[in-house]
Amino acid sequence: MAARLCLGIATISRTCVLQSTILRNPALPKIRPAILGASNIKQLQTSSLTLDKSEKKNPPASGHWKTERIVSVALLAALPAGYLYPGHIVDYSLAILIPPHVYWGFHAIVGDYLPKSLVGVTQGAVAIVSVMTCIGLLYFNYSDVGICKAVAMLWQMKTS
Amino acid sequence: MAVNFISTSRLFLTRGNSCSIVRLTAVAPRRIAMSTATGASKQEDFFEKNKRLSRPMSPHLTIYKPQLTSMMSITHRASGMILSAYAATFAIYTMSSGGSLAEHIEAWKTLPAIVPFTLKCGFIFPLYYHVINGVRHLVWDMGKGFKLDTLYKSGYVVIALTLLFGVVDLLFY
Repeated sequence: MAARLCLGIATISRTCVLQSTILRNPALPKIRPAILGASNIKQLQTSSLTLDKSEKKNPPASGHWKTERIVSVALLAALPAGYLYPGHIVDYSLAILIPPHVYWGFHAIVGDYLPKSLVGVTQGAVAIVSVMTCIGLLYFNYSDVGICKAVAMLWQMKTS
Repeated sequence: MAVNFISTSRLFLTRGNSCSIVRLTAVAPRRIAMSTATGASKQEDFFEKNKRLSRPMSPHLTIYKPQLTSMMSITHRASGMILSAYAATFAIYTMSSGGSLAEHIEAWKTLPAIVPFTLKCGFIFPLYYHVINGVRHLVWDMGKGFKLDTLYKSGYVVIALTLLFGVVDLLFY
């Protein structure tokens, strides 16, 4: 995984970067080129020709990574908003933010633990369940009380 | 060659140097040339070869000491899976069954009290843990908080807050 991240970052920046720089700042989308010497810069520039073709098919992973974090932060804001200002906006926000978060979360789990042959099938099943979750939550928001109110109602159920 | 490597690394250890002895490099599955009966060589995957030779796996989870870092990480994953199960069950069930939520809650009033209590616990603790540890993850994504003592301190804070908020929610709401 570290190798893939390094490759992704290398395809963004055409100049050589210290290994330790990548490890120290994983969040930086653009790595400032570290001037090590002409030899290092030359090395990657010659290989960039071969990287061009694969880049179109395999865009750098950083864009996807950013999207994941944006959804996570939005969810982090939506949860207290659901408690303090329950209503349609938060309901629909949760309904469209939770399924992608679930999907990407399970992508990591499935990719980590399952043998390669099973990854595609399981990830397909996760995709189907995520889509059904999204549709179910949107439908619930539309036709019933909405997610925030539902949590409040369910929480009122007697436990003693 | 392997013997030389081990003996030199032991030397570093006894001298108390802080040199890194093992350098971790990501290795793609190695292709090992294998000759078939006809003499033509076939490229075999590292995993295929080990399967063919029926080699046992080295122990890993059973021998590694559980640490706060690893236990919190797997708990984060488990809590995410539990919350996903709650969300998916809720969404798919309400979509597929007739009647409003209010009618369902009326029907469920006859359930023994332990059932809603268990479901509440199973929801609120994973939720708080996942959210607060999620904040810790996002801080890591900004590149901060990786020093070992910071990791442990932030980990203990996450656990304390999770228990605190979860218990308060269960008792008072």
